Amino acid sequence: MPGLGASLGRGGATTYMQDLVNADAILIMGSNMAEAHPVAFRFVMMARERGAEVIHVDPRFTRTSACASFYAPIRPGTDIAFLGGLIRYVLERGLFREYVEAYTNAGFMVRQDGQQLERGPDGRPVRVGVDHPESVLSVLRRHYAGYTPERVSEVCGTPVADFLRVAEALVRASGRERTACICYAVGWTQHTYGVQNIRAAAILQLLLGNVGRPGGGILALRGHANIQGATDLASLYHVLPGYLPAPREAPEHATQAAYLARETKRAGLWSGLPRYLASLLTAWYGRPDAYDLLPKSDRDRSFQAILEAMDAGEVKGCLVIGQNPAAGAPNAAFARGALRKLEWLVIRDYYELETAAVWKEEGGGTPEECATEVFLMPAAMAAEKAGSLTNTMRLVQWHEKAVEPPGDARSELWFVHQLARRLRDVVPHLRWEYPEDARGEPDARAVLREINGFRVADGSGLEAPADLAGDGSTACGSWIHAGIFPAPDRLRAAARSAGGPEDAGWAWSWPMNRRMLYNRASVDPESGQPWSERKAWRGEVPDGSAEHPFVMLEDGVAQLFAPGLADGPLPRHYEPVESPVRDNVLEATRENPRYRRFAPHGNPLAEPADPRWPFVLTTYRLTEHHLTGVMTRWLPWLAELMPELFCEISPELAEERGIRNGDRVVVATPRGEVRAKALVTLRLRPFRLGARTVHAVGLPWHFGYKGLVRGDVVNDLSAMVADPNVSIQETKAFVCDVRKA
Amino acid sequence: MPFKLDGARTVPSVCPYCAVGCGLLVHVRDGRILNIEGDPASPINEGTVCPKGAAAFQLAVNPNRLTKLLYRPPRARAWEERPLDWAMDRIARLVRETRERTFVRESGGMPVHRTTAIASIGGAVFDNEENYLLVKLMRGLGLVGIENQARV
Ligand code: SF4
Repeated sequence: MPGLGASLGRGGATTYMQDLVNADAILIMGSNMAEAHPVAFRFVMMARERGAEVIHVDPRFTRTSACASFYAPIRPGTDIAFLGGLIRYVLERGLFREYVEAYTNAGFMVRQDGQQLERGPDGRPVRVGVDHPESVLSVLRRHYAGYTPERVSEVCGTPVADFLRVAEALVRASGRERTACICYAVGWTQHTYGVQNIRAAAILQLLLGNVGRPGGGILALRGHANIQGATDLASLYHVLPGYLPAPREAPEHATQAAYLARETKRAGLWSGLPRYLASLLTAWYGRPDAYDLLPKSDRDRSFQAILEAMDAGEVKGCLVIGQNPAAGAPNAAFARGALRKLEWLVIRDYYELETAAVWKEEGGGTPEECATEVFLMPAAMAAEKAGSLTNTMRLVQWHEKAVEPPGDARSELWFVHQLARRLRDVVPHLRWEYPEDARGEPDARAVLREINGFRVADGSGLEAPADLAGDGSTACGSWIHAGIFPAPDRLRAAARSAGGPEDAGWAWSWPMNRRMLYNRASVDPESGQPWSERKAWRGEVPDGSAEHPFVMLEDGVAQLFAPGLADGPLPRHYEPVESPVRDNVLEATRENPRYRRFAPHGNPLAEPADPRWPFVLTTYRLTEHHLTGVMTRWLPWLAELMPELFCEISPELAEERGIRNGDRVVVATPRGEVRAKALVTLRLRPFRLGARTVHAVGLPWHFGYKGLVRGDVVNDLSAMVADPNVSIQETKAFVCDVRKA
Repeated sequence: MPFKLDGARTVPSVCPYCAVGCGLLVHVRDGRILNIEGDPASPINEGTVCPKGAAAFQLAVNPNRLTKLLYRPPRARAWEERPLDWAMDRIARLVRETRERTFVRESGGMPVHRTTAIASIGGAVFDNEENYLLVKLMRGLGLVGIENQARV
């Protein structure tokens, strides 16, 4: 999550869920928390019972809105305009000046080009004070000067009074004595400016002094049981475990020395990169200088780029493990076509999912024409294997094996290990020593010991990242996990004592079991005492120093101004790539000039304000289903609760198109069409943008052509466009038409 | 009448669905799962679960679940059951052959050790240890296309 990483240092939630009860206000935006993260929402309800104001800003009135103190509508995809308006408001009326001066780069000088900070010969930033005309804070003021409540309202369709109510509530709930928290989910990230959405939230929270303090922070609500862990351990093309940049084919990454010269930071925890890399190489290849053996990426190899390369015939074989691109990929029909071009496809899952059936007629294939060799392998579930999952607050929780998996079902650990054994001669350099049981299942504990790290000489476990060495005397799979399993009898992810400060005895969170990141920002640097008694942090593991509470960042302070992102150091409002709005009244360019588009031949896009696709479409989740439904639509209990695809529209839109509640409707985009049952509801309201009206349409995306209950694949509608920093797709705002079927 | 859970062993676990990470208790007798429910000791859920967590039992114990390896040869109209070992051998051979055909050792004088002909997709629903080992092997083989839906 580079939005958080670039602003604060670490790509993870800054706090733990239980801390929500300490908040004086909670802003939920880009998330329908009550329905998508129901059990986490109970902390929001507890906070409200204690008097916190709960604010929901969302295109739809959902159960989250119903439980909130107040709700403000927003047109899908305009969150940066809204947040920019809040930033402007806070700069005028709510700035926590002492916090900002001490703990952010507000007082550093911006270079003339507006893209970088001015730095002295020693690499340190030039401090000019927050009131200097070229300071970060002054640049920020000018940048958002045009984001007035009226303009925000015109762009977002939020009534001015509602916008001001949100702004006032946040300011009221921030300062020395009070704190506010922000919760978000994929409603913020799945945009062609997804990273900058999160950046805008971070800027806002920093200006209010709400990071690193009880009841404050930014709680990223992640989707899958181990999506945080998969990110931490680098199941992503652009990173190695622990967020080390993956090497690219480029002169600055040609050798280990060049890579380290380029990527090691002057100060902060990233100054330790040589030790982290050496220990990772020792864990993988048995020596600290094995950089040459790491594959170097030639270009974007992210998810959509893989599908594009598959369609072009470059990708010939694919392993799909616990994912369902045939229904979950943007422009899923394109993905299915690409999958049918593979020479071989290995799928590991619990049920026969859409991806396994792409070659069948129901998946749009003609079996006789599809030459793909397909393996569908039954997988073991959590209760059938030992291992750990990392939840949305970086908490790593261990689970024991309760029973053997049925039949041919096996764990992923088994699969990888058995594959590695058969390919031993292909990768002789790979260090691969894991004890296995009678079934050939490797010991998950041994793997976690390697992730934790150990001393090569005697196998003793590392206690902390500080123990990592650069000379090959330590091996460590992921430096941020050092300390999770330091000794055979100290599997800290399995710890089960709740209660006490921060519930720190329940499982283990990276880094170093810190529950609240950046917590040293909770003190007044003048006195060294908490900003207030009411908001004193009482946890156990301090983060950073009073001078440098943002230890991951080179300058030790949080980055209001964050150089290095593809689309600029400060967030700007852009329209979604597909939008019914032709002009951008806030910025010079309409859409993100750096957005990525894939497979143009198979991925047509609507023109700006294209009259054929007049409505905004947003997709979302329901409580009863999960993702594309592989884990829910095969279960009678859940299938019965939510059996059918529906489409939410407002009474006004229904009337315009002659649709009645319960009618069958067709939702169409330039990529495809789906059929659904119309749900005409006041939960969706038309947005008034100045003089004109824009309608929104909502579709849950859980259905597909397999399972006990089936429905059209909603991702057949979405487009293959992406954020320039992380290549995440834009499925929360695009355009469509709706008509009676 | 005996209680359903008489004589059952209780194994603490974690909900396999969303990232809230609710604690679950798995009740086991004679090597079979009898019941799954919220773990009252967990500070996250204190015994509560949502509809998905409440269905975790049926996710595991379900007649619709895949328990046999299925193989579909090129252009075939139906699945065939094959032995697990056979499939592992065949998959290893396909990985080996595809890699050999497409492996790039050097590019522009720089060692790059990669193949772009094999991709790995997935990771957000299985364990950390599994992710780590998968990435280690895949990078070891030279894959650069390693992805999952954690893309944020
Ligand atoms: S019980 Fe519900 S809220 Fe809790 S982890 Fe499972 S899916 Fe998420």
